[in-house]
This record gives sequence, structure tokens and C-alpha cells, in this order.
Amino acid sequence: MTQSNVDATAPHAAQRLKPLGIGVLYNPSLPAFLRTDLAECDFVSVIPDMFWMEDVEHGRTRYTELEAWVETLDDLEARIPIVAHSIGLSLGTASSFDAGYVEQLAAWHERYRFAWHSDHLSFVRITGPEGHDHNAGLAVPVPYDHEVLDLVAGRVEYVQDRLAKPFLIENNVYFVDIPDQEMTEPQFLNALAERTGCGILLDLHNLYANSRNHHFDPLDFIDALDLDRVGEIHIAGGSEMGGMYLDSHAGPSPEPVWELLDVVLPRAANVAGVTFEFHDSYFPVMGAEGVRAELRRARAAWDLWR
Amino acid sequence: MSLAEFQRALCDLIASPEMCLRARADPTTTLAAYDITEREWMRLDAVVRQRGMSTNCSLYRVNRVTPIYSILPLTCELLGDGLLQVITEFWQASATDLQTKHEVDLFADWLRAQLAGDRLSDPYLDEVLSFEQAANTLRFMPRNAIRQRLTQAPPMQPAPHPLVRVAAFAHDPMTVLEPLADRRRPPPGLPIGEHYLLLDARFEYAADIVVTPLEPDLGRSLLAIAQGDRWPATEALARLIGAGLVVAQDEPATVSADR
Repeated sequence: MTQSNVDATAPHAAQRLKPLGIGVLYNPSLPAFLRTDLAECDFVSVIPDMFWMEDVEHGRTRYTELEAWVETLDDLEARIPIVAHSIGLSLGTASSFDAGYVEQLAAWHERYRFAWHSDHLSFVRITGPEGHDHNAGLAVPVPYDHEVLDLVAGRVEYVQDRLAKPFLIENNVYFVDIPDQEMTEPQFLNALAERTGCGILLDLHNLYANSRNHHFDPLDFIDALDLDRVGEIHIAGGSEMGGMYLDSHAGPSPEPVWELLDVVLPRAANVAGVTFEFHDSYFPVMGAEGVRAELRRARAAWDLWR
Repeated sequence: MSLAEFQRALCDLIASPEMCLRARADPTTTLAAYDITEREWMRLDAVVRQRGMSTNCSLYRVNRVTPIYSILPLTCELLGDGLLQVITEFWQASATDLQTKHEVDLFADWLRAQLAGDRLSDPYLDEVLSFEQAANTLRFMPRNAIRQRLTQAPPMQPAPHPLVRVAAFAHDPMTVLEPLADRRRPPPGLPIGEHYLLLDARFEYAADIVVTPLEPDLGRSLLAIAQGDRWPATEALARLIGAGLVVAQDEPATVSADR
């Protein structure tokens, strides 16, 4: 798509977005659905990292694109707006930051003209005692301390400068409570957004999972968050494991997530998109009908408040 | 540096339920290796006692086993009840790389080392692993780019077509692979023989990889070329070139069997 959806004169990222509407996070089960039901979506969110492999050679990372996947993306890009939702910035890693990865994202922004970019308030890259980076195995939360705020803010500013697109940071899901944190999660997100001008991707299912696992009222979180900064909302389903509720993207969004969407949409004036996320292994269970139902319900909520 | 050390300790704990148990029992000794502040020490001491730490450890394991199970399902089936033990030992021996292909290659290399060192024994494991790993290699190759490159500039010397692989079996592949596909272990004591499967990703019309038996003479020859062991007899080479399994600029009749 060649039409820009960014207002470059607005003061912060969420205000610079022009509304797209309802989207779905791309997964390997979706090409067939998108061939028949593209009209159900206003945009598609893609995880760029899924479309390439990383090889480290002589200390430098080489990105090898997965040909068949990229062909699908090329096809989508010609038909519908795309937003990028990366998983590899690892903004919270204290020991290292991969500027080469940012350059790879920047090259893909050039190529695909993603409407905006988002990543997570967590870290996935860790440096071992031998000095090599490796994957932590899951997105690990950061303590909401001023030291971490300084660290993450510097990286966000760097990313915004290199990508030259509105950048949104997503609230994390976490399974352990780190004691004695200097800020709450909303305070941290608000401070980060205030300092850097970035926007917030409010994952309502992450919020719901955290509220269930850590026994707090999600409405308190929403009340504390600067909703003016929210540029995108994620909705999804989850599942139980060992007494904890997981953000496993297991099928349809539960009712409390829809209720939260109804609370947030009228109060978050700059939301440009609501994205439904599901894991491809649940497509056989949900079927195209199930995905369509989620998108239509999200659209009904969107139409009510937009 | 302290925050980095805190993060390293937290990740080490997530990767090891055993370390979490040690940290609960004796945090002073377990966390002594990390250069962390008193507050960070207190935080780690608190989180290892939370139920959510068990969730973190489980998710770490699920995230690491998923690529292996999705790419090497028959190998995992063959390992059966021993899979968890084997995979735990692999995790203890290797840092994680959640790039699917790399993680699978790391695991395959590690499995082969176990077989070679007699730390693992299974009559079918090596051939099933080689078969699935060959398929994995082809699956991630840029097929259109390779086809285009071959059309524009075929190799000067005969070489295996980059979009084919051959997998050698010491047992009839069907008697090994079919039960595994049905989630059954192949029967013990299958007759020993020389068998080859061709894995073929040359075709634009085929979304995935076409697998067909290859007669022993051709399988042996193709494998020998691929491994750089020796050059096959002219007749076998000509047949491989004729079938498009070996590619070169020259016509089959003019290819020298000397290397």
C-alpha cells in the first residue's frame, strides 16, 4: 500500500496514527482465510521475525528470508495495510542491544511501508558468561525501576529514530511478581511514553491474564494508564496451566477481554487498530467461522466508538 | 553490570527447575555466582518461591521442545518415553537458539554425538533423524532463487541438484517410517539392507517435498557425490544427470568420470 497513514506533525506516536480498524496477527494458518475473508480485516499485523532466519557469522548476524513466507507477505502488502509487531528488539536486555537487528527492521520498513511498529516491554536476549548472546526461551519481564526506564527509553528513542515510524510498546504478561519495584506497570509505561513520545500497544488479554494470576482489578490498571497514548489494542484467548492463566492465544477471546475492550475503546481516542491474535494450532478448532466471528465482534465494538 | 547479572540469574533459573529448587533450599550458595545487589538477591529469592516460576520453567521447556517436535516428529516418536530425559540432557548441554532450524540442527548434532559415543542406542534413530533433517534443510531453502540461479548459471562441474537430498536407510524405510507416522514404534529386528529415499524439492507445483525410493546404485552414487567421498561410475553419473539429480553445464555424454 502506498498511502501513508501517519501524521508526522503530531506530538506523540499514537496521535500520529490514522485509524485502520480491525486486524489479525498473521500466522501460518491464515493465508487460506485471507484469500476468502480479506474483507473482514482492515489490516494485517505481521511478526517480521517469522519471515527470516538469523545466522551469526564472524560475529555478524545474517538474515536469510524464508522465500515462501516472503512471497505471501509480498502478496498481502499489495492488497491490505500491514503493521509490524516484532519480537526481537529485546528492549530490556541490560547486557546488549542489537543495532543490526534494528537495521534489518528498518530495511523491511522501507520495503513494506508498515503503518507502525511495535515490540514488547520485556527481554528475550541474554548474554551468557562466555559473552555470547542467546535466547532466554520466553519474554522475561523487566523490573519497573528508574534504571530500567533509562535503559529502555534510550533504546526506544534509537528505534524510533531508525525506523522513522510510530513506535508502540506492548504491556507484558508476567507470571512472577518482582518485589520492591519503584513503579507500577502503568506508571512505567506512562513515563516511557512521556519521555520518548512512543505509543502504547495495550494487550487486553495480557492485562486480563496478569489480573487473574496476580489478583488485581484490571480496571485499576486502565484507570492508571495514559489511554491517550494507546495506539493499538490486542485481544486474544488463553488457557490454564498448573493453576496459572497463560497468554497462549488459544482460540477465541474470553468474555472479560471483550468487556475490557468496551471500557477502553471509548476512552482511548487515538487507537488506530484492534488486532485479534490466535495461535495457528487453534485454527482447526476455531475454523474460518470462528476467526470471522472474533473479527466481526471486534468490528462491532469499533464501530460503536469510532 | 548488576542488572545484567540479575537478568542472567533470572534466565538461568527459568531454564532450570533444578536450580530453582536449589535456590529455594540454599539461595546464598546458588546465587553466589552472580554479581548482584542485595535488592536483586532478595528479588530472586522471592520469585523462585512463587508458583509463577514453575510456569516460567514450563513455558521455557514448551518453547524449546516445540520446534524440535514440529520438525522431527518421527525422531521424537522413536525416542518415545525417553524423549524427556534425552531432551533435558540436550538442554543442559547447549544454549538455546529458538530459531527453529538451528535449534533442530543443534539437537540433531547432539543426538548423533550421543549415538557415536554409545550414550544412546537405537537401531533406527540415525536413519530416521537423517531423513527428517534432510527434509528440514530443504524446507528452509529459497527454492525459487535456487531454480533461477541454476537456470542462469549451472555449476561447471557436476554437482547434486541443491534441491534434492538422499537419505540412506539400513532397513526398509517403509517398515520404519509408516509405524512412526502412526505413532507406533517399528518392530525390533527388521532385516538389514541397503535402501535410499530421495527427497525432492525441485518441483514448482509441489508445495512440499516429494519423497520416493531410489535404487541402491543411484542412491549410493548420489550420496557419495554429496559427501565428496568418491566419483561414481560414468553410467551411474549419466543416469543421475539424466534424471536431473546431478546438474552441470556439460551434457551427460561429455562428463568425465575422473575427478
